[in-house]
Amino acid sequence: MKLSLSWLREYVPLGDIDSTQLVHDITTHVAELEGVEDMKTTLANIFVGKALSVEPHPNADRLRISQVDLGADMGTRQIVCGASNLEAGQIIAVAIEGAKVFGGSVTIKKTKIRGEQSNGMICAEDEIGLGGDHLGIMVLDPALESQLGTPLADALQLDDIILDIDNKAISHRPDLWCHLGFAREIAAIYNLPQPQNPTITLPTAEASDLYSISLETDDCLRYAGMSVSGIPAGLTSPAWMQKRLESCGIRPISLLVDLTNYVMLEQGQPLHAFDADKLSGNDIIVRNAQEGEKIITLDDQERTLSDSYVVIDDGKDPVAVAGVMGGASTEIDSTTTSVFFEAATFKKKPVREARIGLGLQSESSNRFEKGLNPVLPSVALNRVAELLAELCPEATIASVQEAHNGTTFDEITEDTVIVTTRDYLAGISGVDISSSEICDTFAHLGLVATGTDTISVTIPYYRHTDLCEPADLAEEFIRIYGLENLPTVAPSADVIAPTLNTRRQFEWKLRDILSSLETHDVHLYDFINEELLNKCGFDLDGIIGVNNALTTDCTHLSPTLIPQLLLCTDRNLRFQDTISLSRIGKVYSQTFEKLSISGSYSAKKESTPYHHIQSIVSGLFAALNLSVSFTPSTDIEPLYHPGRHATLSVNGTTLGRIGELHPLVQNNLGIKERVAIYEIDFDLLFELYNSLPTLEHQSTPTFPSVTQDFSLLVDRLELAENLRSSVLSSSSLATECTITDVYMGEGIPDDKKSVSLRFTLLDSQATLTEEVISEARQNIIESLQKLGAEIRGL
Amino acid sequence: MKHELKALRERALADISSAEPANLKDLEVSLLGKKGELTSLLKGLGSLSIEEKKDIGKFANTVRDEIKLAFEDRSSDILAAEMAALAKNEWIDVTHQPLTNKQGTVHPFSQIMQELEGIFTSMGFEIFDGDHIETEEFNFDALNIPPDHPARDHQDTFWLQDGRVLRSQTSDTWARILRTRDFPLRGVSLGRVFRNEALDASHEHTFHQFEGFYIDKDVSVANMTSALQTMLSRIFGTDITVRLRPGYFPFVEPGYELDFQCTVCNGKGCSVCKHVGWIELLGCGMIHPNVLRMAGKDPDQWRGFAWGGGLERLLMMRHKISDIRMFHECDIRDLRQF
Repeated sequence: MKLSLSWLREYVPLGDIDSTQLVHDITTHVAELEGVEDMKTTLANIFVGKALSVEPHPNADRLRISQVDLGADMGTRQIVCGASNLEAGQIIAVAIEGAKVFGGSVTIKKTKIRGEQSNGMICAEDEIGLGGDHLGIMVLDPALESQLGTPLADALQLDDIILDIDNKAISHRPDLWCHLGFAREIAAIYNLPQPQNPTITLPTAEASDLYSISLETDDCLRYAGMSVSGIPAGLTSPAWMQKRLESCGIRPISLLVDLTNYVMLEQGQPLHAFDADKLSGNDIIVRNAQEGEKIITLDDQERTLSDSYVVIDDGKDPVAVAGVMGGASTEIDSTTTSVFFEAATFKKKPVREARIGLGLQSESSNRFEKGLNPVLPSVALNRVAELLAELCPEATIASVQEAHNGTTFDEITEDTVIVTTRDYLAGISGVDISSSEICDTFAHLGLVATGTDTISVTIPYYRHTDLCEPADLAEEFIRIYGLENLPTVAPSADVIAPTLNTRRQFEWKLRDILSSLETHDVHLYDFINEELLNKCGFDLDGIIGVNNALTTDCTHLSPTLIPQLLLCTDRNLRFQDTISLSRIGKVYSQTFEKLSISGSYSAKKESTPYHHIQSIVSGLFAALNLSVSFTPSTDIEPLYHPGRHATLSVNGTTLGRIGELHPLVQNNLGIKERVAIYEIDFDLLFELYNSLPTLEHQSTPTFPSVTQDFSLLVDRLELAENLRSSVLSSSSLATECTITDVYMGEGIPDDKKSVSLRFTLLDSQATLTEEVISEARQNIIESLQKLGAEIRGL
Repeated sequence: MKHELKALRERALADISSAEPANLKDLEVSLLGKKGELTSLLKGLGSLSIEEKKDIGKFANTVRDEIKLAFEDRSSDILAAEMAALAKNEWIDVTHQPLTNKQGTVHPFSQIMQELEGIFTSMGFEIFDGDHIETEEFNFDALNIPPDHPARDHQDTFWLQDGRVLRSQTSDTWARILRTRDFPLRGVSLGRVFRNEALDASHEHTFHQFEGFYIDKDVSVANMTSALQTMLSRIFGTDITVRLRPGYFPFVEPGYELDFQCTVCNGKGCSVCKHVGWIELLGCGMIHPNVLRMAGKDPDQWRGFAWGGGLERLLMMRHKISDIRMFHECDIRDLRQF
């Protein structure tokens, strides 16, 4: 929202104030600003001058040399200029050394151009931010000849400063959406007299019953109308009003329309003007729209309405969408001579819904959505009447009428009182302060506060929406007292050792372990869309969808971390030979949201990435002191390769799965290399980890062990795990068994494989004797033979 | 015989002193071994008288000792020479790395969350985390944002098909914790939040916040400033100066924006702070009495402050990251830098 400082000055005697200081003070006391436009600063060192002569440049065809008169104090200067429209005798804008042009990017200096001295620049409009015109230099009004040497901003009366307030910072303060509201704040900051409050009764008129106003919805708290006739057609607003509107970003249209906008910017109440002759009769009905009802709005668009919106109906058709935009059928035009001014209080919700539903944000909707006070329609109509009397004395106020829901007018204008205490305000601020100082501080804001231990603060109508309880008063007290005056005091709390979040710590532990296992911890999106789901073999069953996603990538929440890991793998494979990722993140369905630990491994030309990811997963479990089992899975899982897929379990508890990516999915996603993946349920793992008994140390055996190797021929599909457990279970002395080599191919029957196996025998109580070793060995042989193994070299 | 022994001694000592390291052991065996020269020479002792035996025997022992000593001297000389020549003889190129380092990485989000959790824990805050899918009640209503509240539009919220939302701020966590836990209580929640926005260099639909609260009997804005200043000084690893400005967040009253003085220019104004001297970092304020009431707690008895800020902002500032999309892109070439 833009505010004009000169307009604010009408309400508050600001005196000479530096705009930088003002911006700082508003920022630290009221609200953030988006920016400030200070033409006086922008146009510093630019003066009114006169081109006395224009001569050709001796060394450049396109340049000319002008002697420029800058008045008695500054005298005459030589300036080199390239503009073709420069003529002797013109009154011009002259930037001298120190002036900033082209949006501040260039500072003017005395210089030589092609050998000729140039002591400034003759400006074009766009070079100094006064418009888009760059056809040539800016030629000023000849009348300004009397002001040679005057700063340009003064000569053009561009002395205003425009403050652009951040709308989000005042969304809780409907009273601040106008000049009067901000004038109150500025007066409070500098402890200047508060602006006078406007008249809060309706203006008087000849009649009060020209229209029949009926409120058929609870969404309108108050509706006031003023009909004015006898207005000469085609009036425009005066220049000062147009300048103020333009300063605040509103385009002047006609006196009647400009009046509504001007009063809104001044008092904060949006108004609408209907051409009274275009209204079908004398009925004004405020009602909820019918679902699907249509209206053509002022911007000539046909709008379809919803029953959550409010419309104004003239007894025949809807003529305005309440709080958002008027209808085209009753628009003010150059022939309008009678007007019905509407000033109403619509509730926040219908305006918000209409604004969102119709995509029509306006100055009016911005204000209604904050919740306006029902007193304001009276204030606004009064001000319109006042301005009309001044600007259009021919006009007659024919009638003024109002209707309201529930509360009477007297009730809404009544002051409220909030009772608080000195101790509360001193305590919450941390400032040791007396009651009288507190009351003084409130007085800056125009809030009457009285009392010593208990303080009663009277709240005027325009602060009813945001000042409701002591905490609100604390905010007012502290900001006007001055945040920079607040002490910094360390909290004096008891020492509490916080309960540790062990689940969270487990998560950090896992991330550290995974990174030590040569994987990259990544954070990827939780979103997925239908296309990606389908490519990964999922349908939409059980998937949770987003209703209002802005981008097509965010339409659903992913039930698995794998698809995003695959996309990330694919992106990285362009630059890396090996890509090993791990992610701890959320997975979702309609019935759950849970943490998953997942990972992927892929490498150029690696045909069996499974074993890499397997070593990462077993490394992860080993680091947690857990022993993981890989059990072949025949479950149909769309992401997993049917022949390279296992479940992960620890002591019989299944925690997740591991395998290679199904080549169909790989193909669907266009990934060049095979990928191995795994998924582990975080909470199951955490639970298991937490349930581990405290580790008990085992003494390292002092007796020597014996290691032996076997070479076997077994069925091709025999599992390595079966061979291992067969060895380990066949003798109590067998402590370790590893498969050292597996060979299939030449020299081995097609349905067989050759396996090299190494085991260790150890007796923790005694040295192994030949007999004992031989007995254990025999048991192992028999056990392996039961699996159909043929032990070579026996 | 004595004469022969003397001759052996002279020859032996000369041989030893010039022996090559590789031959030394053989030489020792040939001189002193069971079948060595000295042993075989002494076999002739048997034909001598007792007196002579005694005399020659004694002399032979001296010779043996002298030869032994010569061997020891020679081997220690050889060893010393070998050690002295190590640098040259066993030189390797220590700059060459034939075995590549494949260390993985921890994402900057993970790093900073872990770091912050450590700092908050050390300051007595308990770490909480919550679900991403949140009810409308806890994402909005319990935080004093009723359905027609304009603040609902400040956050472009992802609404789910079942009427729930993806949390648009981590404050939902404390709205929940306030109901279940007894006071006094200090807590922090760090995690992922979502806003329905289109991606560009400075806008993300998925980002992270760190949000905390401190509830006790007599808590003041002055306490909040102090606590946040201490916290930020720990995070930035240097003394930080902060200031408060009025700011509007429905779940706090009074509500503030917290700026810290630019550490690059010490508040004088530079390109980092856009010539303002201050950098906006957090939203904060005293927990709104309505939030406490809705949690079933008595705002006349308990007061607290709360704050919230973005992790991306911290990281981007700290590491001069210009494009927010880098975080979720997860290009290994980026991740390796952290």
